[in-house]
Amino acid sequence: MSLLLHAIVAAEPVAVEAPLVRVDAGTLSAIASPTEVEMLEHHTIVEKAHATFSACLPARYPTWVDTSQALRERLERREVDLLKALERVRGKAELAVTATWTTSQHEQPPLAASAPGRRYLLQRQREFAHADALRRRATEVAEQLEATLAALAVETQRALTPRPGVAVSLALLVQQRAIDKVKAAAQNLDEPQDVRILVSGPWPPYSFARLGMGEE
Amino acid sequence: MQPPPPRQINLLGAPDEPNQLSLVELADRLLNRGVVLTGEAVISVAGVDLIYLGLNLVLTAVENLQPRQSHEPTAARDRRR
Repeated sequence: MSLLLHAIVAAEPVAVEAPLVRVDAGTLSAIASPTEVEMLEHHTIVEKAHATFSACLPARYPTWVDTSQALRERLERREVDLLKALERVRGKAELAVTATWTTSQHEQPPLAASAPGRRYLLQRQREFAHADALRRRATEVAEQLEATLAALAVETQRALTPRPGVAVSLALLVQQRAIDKVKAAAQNLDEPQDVRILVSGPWPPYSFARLGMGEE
Repeated sequence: MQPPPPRQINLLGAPDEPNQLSLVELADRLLNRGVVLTGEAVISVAGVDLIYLGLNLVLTAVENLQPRQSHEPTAARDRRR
């Protein structure tokens, strides 16, 4: 019976509702579904596991494992790494702070060059210069955000220009008891004129659940 | 009375409102982050990730994707039977 993995949690005396199954391996447990569930449903299950267990590692969607025995073996094989990762996120949640550009970053006047080859090269040159300028500005914005928020978080992850329209995406790993304080600090940050700052979360610690390099 | 038209959600491209942004962030977290139990490797140059390889994927040369029998002489297949 194939299982869709939702989360790996610290083994604690908590029963999970059917059809969810719990596979125990020493001090670890895995929460999984015997049937396919949609992405949002997976997220709901991860959120509940995160709220219920003292430490929870969300699984990347979708992760299928052939049998509960195979899942148990994988937990046992990676027990050391998983326990280390669980300790990293124990009692913590993730906040997302995203800075989006307030102005369009793509509107540029047409090039005047007449020859198509010259026009192409000038266009490419302009695109590279524009991307470099965006990244430089995004770095400044990230540093400005981190100057206030990094000290309030346990860990910070930064992504510069991760998507069109987004300057910076910060993931903050925050102690559960400090969530409100950090969220308020993020919402009260001074917004530079060219970006809008949006705060979302708390999320289960998706961005901080990665193990070290694979051993399999 | 006609039911309201379904709300269209664009998970790609630039987010233009907080709710849409949250959906993009959700999709990003579910699909790109989280623990990978089957092993993972990131190939990077100068700190920039180039390719993400899920090691649970089978990497194979294109010719190996062809059905095996099309490469084997009929006699060889028959001998194995």
